[in-house]
Amino acid sequence: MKKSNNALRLFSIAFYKELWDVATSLSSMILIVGGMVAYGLLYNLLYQPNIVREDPIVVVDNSHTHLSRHLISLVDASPNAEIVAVAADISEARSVLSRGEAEAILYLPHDMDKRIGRGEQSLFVILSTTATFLYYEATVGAIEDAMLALDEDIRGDMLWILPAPLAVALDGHATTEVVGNALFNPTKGYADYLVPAVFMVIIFQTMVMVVSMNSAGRKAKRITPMRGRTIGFGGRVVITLARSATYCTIYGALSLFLIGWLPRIFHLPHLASVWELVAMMFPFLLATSLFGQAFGRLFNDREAPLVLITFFSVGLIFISGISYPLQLLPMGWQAVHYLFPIAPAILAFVELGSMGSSLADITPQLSVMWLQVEGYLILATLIPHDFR
Amino acid sequence: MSVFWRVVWREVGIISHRPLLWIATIGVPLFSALFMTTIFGNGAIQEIPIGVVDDSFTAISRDIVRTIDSSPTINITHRYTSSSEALAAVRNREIYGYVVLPHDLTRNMVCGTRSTIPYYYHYAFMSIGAQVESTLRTLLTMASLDPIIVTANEMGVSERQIMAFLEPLNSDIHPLGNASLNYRTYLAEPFFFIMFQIIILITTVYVLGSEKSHSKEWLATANSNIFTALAGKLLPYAFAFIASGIAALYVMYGIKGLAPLELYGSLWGLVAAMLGLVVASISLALFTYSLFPNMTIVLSAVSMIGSLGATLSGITFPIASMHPIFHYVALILPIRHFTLIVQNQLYTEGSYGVVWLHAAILGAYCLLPLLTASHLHKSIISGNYEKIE
Repeated sequence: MKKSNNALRLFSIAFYKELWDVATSLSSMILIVGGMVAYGLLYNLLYQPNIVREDPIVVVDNSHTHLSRHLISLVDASPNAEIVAVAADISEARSVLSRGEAEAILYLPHDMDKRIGRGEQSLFVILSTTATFLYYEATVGAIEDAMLALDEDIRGDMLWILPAPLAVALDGHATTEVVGNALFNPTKGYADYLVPAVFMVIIFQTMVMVVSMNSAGRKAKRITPMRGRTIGFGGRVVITLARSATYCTIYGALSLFLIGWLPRIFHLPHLASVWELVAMMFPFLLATSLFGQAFGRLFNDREAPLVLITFFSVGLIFISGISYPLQLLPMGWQAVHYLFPIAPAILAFVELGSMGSSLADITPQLSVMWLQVEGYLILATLIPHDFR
Repeated sequence: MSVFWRVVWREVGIISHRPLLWIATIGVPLFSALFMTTIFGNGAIQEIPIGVVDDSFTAISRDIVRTIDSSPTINITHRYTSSSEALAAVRNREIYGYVVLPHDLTRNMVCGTRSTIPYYYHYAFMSIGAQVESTLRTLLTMASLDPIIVTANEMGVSERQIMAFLEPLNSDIHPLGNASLNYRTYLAEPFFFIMFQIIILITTVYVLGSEKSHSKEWLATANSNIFTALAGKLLPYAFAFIASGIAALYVMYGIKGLAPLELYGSLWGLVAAMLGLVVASISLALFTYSLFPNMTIVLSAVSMIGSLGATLSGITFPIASMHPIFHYVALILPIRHFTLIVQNQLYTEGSYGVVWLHAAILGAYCLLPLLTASHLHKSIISGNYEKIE
């Protein structure tokens, strides 16, 4: 009885001490509030357009026929592309490209119409930069759609090139339509795809920064909650958990804003219920705060952990499996996926929020995060540290 | 030894005692280069697992399946008896897309009645889904024409002739700069430099802030000249980062065993741009620190500025599609100018007019710290900012 009372007391002392330290530290507050509020808003605004539209295209029309003008107007009418310039020849078009005024060249050769008149296939050329894959896909998609529509129109006039029996068979013969459907993101929005993952990265990055900074700082300054008393292994576990509880409380509250409210305001996918989010965020925040404590204890001054955290936050998206299939990552990097709480958290959040999966569907991710909680709790407790 | 070299020598002494600084200046850049070179395998997204629901089950539908499976990009790993089963498999990422061949497909194709082949792709994972989409669109369009081509061939019509009828207009697509649309070529180099500028920004602020109680001695070594003190202190880091940058370029483009990236521009052009990025990033960090010389707070600030580089370099989502305000905000970041220079070289055989403008801006970052040097000098003497936690 007395023992559990002691543990409870130790827990609450360590909890409030940590809360006080965070609340009175300007740098911690900048990271937490700046990260969760300012960053959350900023990234939404950055990706607000959601969809890449009006990819700028420069045209070289050597054909000057009804057909070439029809193709150009169809491309221009597409929501994904816009004809921004007309060039006299390919070298002029190239210079438009190198000035950055267009991303692709649509080159229509002089014999375009003539070839069709002769009953031959007529080729035109697309040259597109590949600096941004989204642009490339938009351009090629827009031009190909225009081309397919024109093909359908022209086909009726081309029957004469076929021998009579085939022409009769194919007259009015409808071709099979191939219809693609985007699952879980019907508008094909870029923000819908990336921003949920960015939210998780923001939480992970700023939380690890704050926790490890305060953990390392404590070592530097020798501030401890229970002055003068030696604390056993059980006590260390209690203190470590109490400090994690502090951060989980703060981040739990701010997560309501970041992943509960912002997705509604900015019309991002938000299919998860509050309880599903809680069940997913709890192990994520706990594992992250314990990871931060363990990581911070490797350093002797407060700011040192920050040096080694930030640069990698960019890489974390790649090992999460949302931008590149997890199965296709080389083996070594697949293992790294399971080391950081952020990677399973991104998958779990996207599955719950964007795909409308249930908690049962994300059991593998939840299990990984709970294993990480145990692993990092042990590490955070064992790494030599001033617990007195 | 002149005053300047005394400060440099003092800094070299500090570095030699601090493993963290070795890791930051050499370890992190090399790790980042290795990470970005190896994370995508060979960079051609290959064998993405997809599924098929074949309700038709005829020779024609089997031909369609065979055509799809012939592509190196996707791989039919599963067959399902219903769409709902296939959808469940997409949900748990067993597959990233599937094709449904309806039961009346064959009859409709033969009779020439309009029919559709629906296909589905995972778009919550956009980059993978887009790959599946474009591959399936091309393959299925091709496969759906096959029965007509076969009939035509039987009647003695050449393939050329029937294609002229089916696709009178056809396009010849040339992706510039990255002909095979390789993922690694697209992302590895730009994202290495995004990580690189973050570590430069942070390390610079960290070493400036680490002086703390020694800052008076540091100034004294420089004969109280703030310019000598700063130049001497930061020179070893600029040198280390440039050396690491060259080593990283070697990792990315030079090591045969790692299947080097395709390099379309000149390597010297890249080295020169990298030099500009290093110097500009150090200057930006110094400028920010001089405005408010408190290490922890400025570290938080530059880590956020640095991370924004991933978005505002414009590599994944075009800046032109963002709100006009961000067109200008992006220009605050050295990484944006660096990216424009490099992309201009790599993808459009750049016009020097554009490149020189951004190169000049990168160079001009050096001037920024001059504006705030005296403020930094005063604050070091007063120590006012250090007290804020």
